Amino acid sequence: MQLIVDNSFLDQIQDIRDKIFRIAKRLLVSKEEAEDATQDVITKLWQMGESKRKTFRSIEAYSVTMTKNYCLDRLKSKQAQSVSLDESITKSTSESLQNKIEFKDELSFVEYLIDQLPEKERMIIQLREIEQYDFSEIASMLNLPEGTVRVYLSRIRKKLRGQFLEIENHGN
Amino acid sequence: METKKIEALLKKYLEGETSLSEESFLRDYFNKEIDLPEAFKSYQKFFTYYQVAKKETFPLIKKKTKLILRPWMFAAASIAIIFSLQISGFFTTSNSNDQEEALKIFKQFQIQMKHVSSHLNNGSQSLAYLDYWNNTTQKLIK
Repeated sequence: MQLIVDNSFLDQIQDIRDKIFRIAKRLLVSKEEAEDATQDVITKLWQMGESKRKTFRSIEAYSVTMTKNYCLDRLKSKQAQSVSLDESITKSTSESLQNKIEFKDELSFVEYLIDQLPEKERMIIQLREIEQYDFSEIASMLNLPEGTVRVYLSRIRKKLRGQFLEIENHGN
Repeated sequence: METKKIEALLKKYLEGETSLSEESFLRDYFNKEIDLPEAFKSYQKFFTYYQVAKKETFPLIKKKTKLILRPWMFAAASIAIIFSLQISGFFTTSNSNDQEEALKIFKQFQIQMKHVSSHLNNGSQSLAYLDYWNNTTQKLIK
């Protein structure tokens, strides 16, 4: 059986794929799960067919929203199965302060701080700081008013910085 | 002068009021500057991390699909070995005109070919492995 390869779709999806992957990884934390999620989301986009895809104002924005919903569903069903939502979090909270202090010099400490945030906040940080979308785009992707995104972002930036300083001060 | 500007931008940044271009200015500043004023140091890790995180891409080369060895593949491989040995055996014996021996070998060969075909008919799934089987035979014949 030969699949008809939709080249225009593949071209369109190239850049989006990496974004989907990064967003999925931010939400699901696990790299493997993010890979699966990326495959699934892209498959769904492909299955829609071109005529339907053309009706979206921006396929990119649509894919981001789709990825978000997909990942949140995943997390929810995991929770329902009473599997520990995020093993790294439970592990890390029991980590000694000393470890955290040593950790602070690494970039992964920043990653750790971000991954501790609730999903919505992680999503906002990802979309603004890493994917660099403007507020109106983020607002439509997350279905939130623009002002709310701004307020959230400010709060999260302050929170992250506060947590960073707190750990740093413990070290001194 | 620059320090003042950065300071003002950082204040705006924390309030969520910086534009994308101002934020990219900050990212560049923090990724270039080594000798930072003490007050800015707590921001640097964040801006560096954001820069690095943007470069992460979907891993295109998935782990190599492991070659799953199925029992029938061993069977096919061993039949292929016997098969190629038989060919050489068949020719040498026919050269010596030992007809009886040749007939015996031919019968064995027939049985083996039946095995081969029964394995190859093992469902359409197995057809995908025909290439693998071919390769092995070719290697052995060479």
